[in-house]
Amino acid sequence: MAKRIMTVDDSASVRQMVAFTLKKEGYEVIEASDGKDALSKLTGTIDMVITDLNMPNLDGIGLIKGIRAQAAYKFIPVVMLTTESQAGKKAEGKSAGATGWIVKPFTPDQLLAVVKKVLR
Amino acid sequence: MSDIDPSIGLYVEETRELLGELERGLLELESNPGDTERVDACFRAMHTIKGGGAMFGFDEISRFTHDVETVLDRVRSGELPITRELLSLTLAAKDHILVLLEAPRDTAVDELRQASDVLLAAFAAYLPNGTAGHAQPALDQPAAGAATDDNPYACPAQSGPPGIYWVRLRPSATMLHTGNDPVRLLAELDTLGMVRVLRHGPLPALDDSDYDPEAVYGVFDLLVCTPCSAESLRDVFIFVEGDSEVSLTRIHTGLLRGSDLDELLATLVGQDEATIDAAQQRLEAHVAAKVAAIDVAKKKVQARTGPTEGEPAARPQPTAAATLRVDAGRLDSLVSMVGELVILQSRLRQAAKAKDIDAVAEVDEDLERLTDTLRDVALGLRMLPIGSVFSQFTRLTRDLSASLGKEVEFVAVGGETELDKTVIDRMKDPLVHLLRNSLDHGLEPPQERLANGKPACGRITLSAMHSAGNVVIVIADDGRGIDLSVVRRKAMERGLIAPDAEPTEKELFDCIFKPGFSTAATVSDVSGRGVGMDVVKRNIEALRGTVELESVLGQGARVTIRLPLTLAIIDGFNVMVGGDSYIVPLANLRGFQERFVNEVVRTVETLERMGELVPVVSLRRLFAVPGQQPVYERVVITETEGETVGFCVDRVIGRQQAVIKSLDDCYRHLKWISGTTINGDGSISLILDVPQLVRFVRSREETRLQATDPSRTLVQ
Amino acid sequence: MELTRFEDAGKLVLAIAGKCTVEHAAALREGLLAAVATDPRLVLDISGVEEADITFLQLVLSTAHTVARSGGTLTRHGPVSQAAISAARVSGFTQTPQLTTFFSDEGRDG
Repeated sequence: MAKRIMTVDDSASVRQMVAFTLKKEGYEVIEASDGKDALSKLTGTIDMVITDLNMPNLDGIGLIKGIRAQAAYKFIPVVMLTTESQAGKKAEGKSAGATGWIVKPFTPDQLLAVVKKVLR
Repeated sequence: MSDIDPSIGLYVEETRELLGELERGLLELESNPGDTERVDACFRAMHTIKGGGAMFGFDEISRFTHDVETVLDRVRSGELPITRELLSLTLAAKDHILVLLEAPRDTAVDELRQASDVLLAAFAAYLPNGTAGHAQPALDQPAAGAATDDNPYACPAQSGPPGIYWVRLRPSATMLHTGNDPVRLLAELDTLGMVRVLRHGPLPALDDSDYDPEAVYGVFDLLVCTPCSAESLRDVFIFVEGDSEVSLTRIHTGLLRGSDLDELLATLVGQDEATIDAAQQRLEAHVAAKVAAIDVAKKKVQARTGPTEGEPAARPQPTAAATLRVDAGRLDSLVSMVGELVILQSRLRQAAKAKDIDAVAEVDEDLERLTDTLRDVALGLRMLPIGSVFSQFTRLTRDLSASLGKEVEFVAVGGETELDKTVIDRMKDPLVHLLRNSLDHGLEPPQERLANGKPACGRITLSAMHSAGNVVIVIADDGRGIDLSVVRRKAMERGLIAPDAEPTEKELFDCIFKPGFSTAATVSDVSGRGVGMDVVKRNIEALRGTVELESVLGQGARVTIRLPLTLAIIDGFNVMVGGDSYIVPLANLRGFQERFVNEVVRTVETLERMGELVPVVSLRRLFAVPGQQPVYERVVITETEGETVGFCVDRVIGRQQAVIKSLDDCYRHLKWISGTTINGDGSISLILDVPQLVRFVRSREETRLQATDPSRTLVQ
Repeated sequence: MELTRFEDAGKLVLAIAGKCTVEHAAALREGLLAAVATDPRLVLDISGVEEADITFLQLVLSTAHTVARSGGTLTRHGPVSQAAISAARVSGFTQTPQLTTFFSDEGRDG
């Protein structure tokens, strides 16, 4: 059964790149445009979430906390997309329960390497 | 060097197999260049060889195969066509890799490198412009790029010898709450090298109210032997480093074997609370001791094998493969049978305790069935498909036919036929000789074939199959066949047959197997090697096999070799002389007769059998068995090399399967005994070497004939 | 994750199957506790384990400790699933003294 990954980003181009890369590898992908949208789509089996940090409505940190608050998603891998300048955000994300991070900009290969690293 | 690291031995073995596959693949590509699967397989073989080379310190193999792999990759992607030249070059590369593989390590590096460079120069023509000169594997891969194609391990390999790292992971209790899992991290680390893990430290009892099923407990100490950099190892833990305790220390540079790592790791047992520094000191002290011990062992090995410098090109001693690959299914069934054995033993104990003789008999029956299958399976472990040797012959015929200017189609059938590994190893030379003969003497040059109404391309068939407990190997060609009149003339010239004799066809064919016989008018460099068919025959007989020759003039020749399935077990008849027990191999047995003795017995006499006189040997006299000569004796009639000889014994006990124990070196001079076996009652039987005994009888008879000693015929 | 109890050769067998991950760790612990209470010579069947993480391995080890306390050795019914054995191997649980038998062939009891 294909693993289902949710990608959350307000930038459609990033979302598309992530979704395209993952689909090509055989993953099922759910797209969400921000934290709020993501939480509303958080039902059924979701094996992993990849989220941007800076987003309208609900940002990445908020989303991570929201995910961890739900029993069904308490332990799933959540990877945040950060930029080099967001060192503080990275620590904040980790303490909110993020599994890891990918530094932007990234290549499809780097993305897949991280997905394979954290997805069981 | 396999004394030092068994994993290297495994790599060597595996690479040999891969090279065999590569060769098979290349040869098949020659006749079918469009077979993309075959190309893929060749590429993968080269790729695996290269990756392992870097890991196990075969740096020259790794360096050399880099460009070869690139070229094969270009073939695979359709950038390069498959040509005869490219195949020949790749075959040469395959040979060179084998040389590199088998060359004693640390010797003659320069010569081998030069040989590599010559081949690499030839390969350069097939490389894309500008990349010639074997690019180093890219070291600037982004860390997140993980698995690259150039390395068996999921990281860029460092140059230089591998390192041994000690990794300590003390996961934070809440690691799972961030979506991480120590098992997953350790699984990732497992892909980066040879890893040994010790899990220790506290864990609450199951019924402890403090047991948090969602928490992580304990400490993981790991030793990793890897060509990867410390950074690649550290990257594994990148997401957990802040919260969990991760330390990484290089404790040794160079290879250690898995068992050494186990030993080192064991020194950390109970040290889960020790500080990193204390544990590290402890570990380093043990590493130093270990390395010193290895150095001593190495020196010993070197002293034993002598200095290896100075003879670089000389073929290294064939390292008779000490490891054997075993089909997993066979191993499984062996293990399950051992399980049954354990059960039987406990049943036996119960029956013995209860003094229940019926139950004991039952166990005995089951045990008999089990030992039978166990024996078959255990012997099966030694069985290998003969195809591994066949493929070498494909190459041989290809190269030879080219040098002889002949065209030949080589067909190998029955490669999956299984045979004892020892038999396979020892059959190689005789088969090579027979193939050379077929090519050199048997097959005619194309013009001659056409003139005789045959297709220009000759055909040699090598087939193997099972038949009645034997393996039958047949080498047949459609060449000119054997001219018996020539054989007869030669045999007379060499004094192998009397000038006025009227030998039968079979006798003439037998002459070919006699020492000093050769029908080749000219000695070519293919088969004129001074090794005759007599050696072939002797080799095959040493394996308790037989060889036969048939031929129809103008249509071809056929050599049939029959071999026992295994060398370890022999089917025979148990016979007694006095108190001594002997086994006569069933392969030689032709029947039993009897005789009455009323005079003094000589060692060799004759006896009438089916209207013919056959020599009979008194084993009692021959082996000087003490005791009374009985008046009535049984005669075991045997046949070998077409000769019938009887052996007089006191009693025939019956058929027996004997597990052969080879004789100790100090008994090797006992030519008539091929081994011993232990009987059910613990006594020992000697296994008779019938061909040797017959040879003895023949020489005795000849001396006697010359002395015109009237032979006596005994009344039956 | 699914837990099934049955008897084999007079011993209680607890069959653990499916995803044995942290999400189900509490339930697995309950199941193991109840089973050990029923029969201290408990036998585990882990042939149907499809996913195994650290929580599963820790619970098996802790169960082995408990069985050992009553003088026994934790044994196994059926083979070890691929997921379970690879998780145990990479993390050293196959070499942990109380579990070496359990994960080896000798540990198989039926």
